Amino acid sequence: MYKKLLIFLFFALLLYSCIGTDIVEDEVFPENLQITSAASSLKVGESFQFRAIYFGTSGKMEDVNLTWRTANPNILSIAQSGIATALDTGTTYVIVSTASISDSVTVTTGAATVVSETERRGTFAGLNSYDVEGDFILEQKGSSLELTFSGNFSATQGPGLHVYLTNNNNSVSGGVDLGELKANSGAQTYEIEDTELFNAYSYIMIYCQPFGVPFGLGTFDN
Amino acid sequence: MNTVYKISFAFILFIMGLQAHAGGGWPQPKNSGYFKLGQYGIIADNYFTPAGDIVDITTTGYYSTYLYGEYGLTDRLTAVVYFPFFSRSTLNQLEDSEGNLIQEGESVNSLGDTDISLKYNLINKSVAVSVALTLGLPIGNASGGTSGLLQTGDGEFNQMLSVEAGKSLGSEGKYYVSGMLGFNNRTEGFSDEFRYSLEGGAHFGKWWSILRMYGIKSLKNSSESFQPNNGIFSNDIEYVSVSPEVVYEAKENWGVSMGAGFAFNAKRVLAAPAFTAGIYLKI
Repeated sequence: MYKKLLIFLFFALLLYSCIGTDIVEDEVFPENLQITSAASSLKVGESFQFRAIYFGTSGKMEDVNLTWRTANPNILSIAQSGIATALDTGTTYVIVSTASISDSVTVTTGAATVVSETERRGTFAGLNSYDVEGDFILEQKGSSLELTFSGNFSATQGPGLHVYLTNNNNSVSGGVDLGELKANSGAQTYEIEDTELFNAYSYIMIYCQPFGVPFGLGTFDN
Repeated sequence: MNTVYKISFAFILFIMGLQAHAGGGWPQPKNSGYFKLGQYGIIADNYFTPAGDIVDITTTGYYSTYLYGEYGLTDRLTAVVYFPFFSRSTLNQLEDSEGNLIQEGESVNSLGDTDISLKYNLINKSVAVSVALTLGLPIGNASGGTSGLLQTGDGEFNQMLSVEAGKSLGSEGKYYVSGMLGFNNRTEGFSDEFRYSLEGGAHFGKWWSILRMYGIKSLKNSSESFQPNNGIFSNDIEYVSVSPEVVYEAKENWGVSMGAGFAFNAKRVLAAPAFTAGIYLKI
């Protein structure tokens, strides 16, 4: 009787203590196409490179064929590479589209070229009853981006906290991992090599990577 | 940034509630003993946050094979040992729906944190009252796995003073009730704890049915500068658990037990039932 019980306990342990597999369910996201590099004003005679990013239903960035056009080609012409040239004064739209979705920005042609915003700001708030607070700024710095948390940043201690760019306010699906959170409080900076990401995401998430728990969400104000 | 983190060890505390049915306020008579070989396990994909909300987490598990023993050094003084000689902590692998690996699973195996106690019986009449000093020896792995996230111990030496009382009821002790109040002094900057339990048992033929409530309340007195390695997981843990258990007395001197523990009103612990099974021997 002793032996049988011991054997039972042994095999129960073996079966119970194996490393299992968790399947992360696919999330379906709405398609998203965004013009990420834009000039709000363009000097007549000058050119500017417009760029756009497409997110598929998987939430991930995908390469797709983009079609560029302007609402008034007499004022502003644009090549399929996204390079636009101001031909005359006026106001028109730059439109980019895929087979199923489009995005547009207003462009004024005239005396000067003004590149749209070069910085985005936002504020953190906690999720799932964890405390995360403080301000942040995402800036274009030459050929890269720089995400800076202000000195008033603080986050609850946690295991394996990472910083993500994401378009989902409760998951990091389709997001970009910027690396491990450098400190639980105070100013800190994360460099992002791909400038295309400047306008691509709506949120900064502080995320417990090993256990898959969002700790905090930073929402861009612009 | 310190990268050494640990999984909650609060669930181990369920063991204390599950294993102690030979205890209460009653001492072991001199040269008599109660020994148990037990198996404990919990698998959780939910977690109680610091506010008590339940959130989804990557599935994690803790398993322990332990020896528990009580031995009467004198008629009043009883030595108690809880020794998890094999402890295993696991974190599941993550895959997407197409089978692509998202995150490797991992595990750590080692000895677990061990408790040794001395219990002194003050009163042994219709009500038995004892006081106990329990020392928690941090011999488990406090930062296991490639990420340092898994643990089989909390890495701190704690000392708990407790008072236990028990009373037999009915003819031939067919029923009993017991309770415990304790203060757990934790080191390494962790908050101290107030612990309590209430237990009742009933004897039917060869069966004991037991229902136990066990609780932990943090005193939240860790220093403001305290930066716990294990962040959310090991400091200021709180919960109340209810643990039903059945014991089958196969013979006069040995039997088997099975039980489960369910935590509620909890903070910073895994949100899943814990299970235990064991074989005990009385000498």
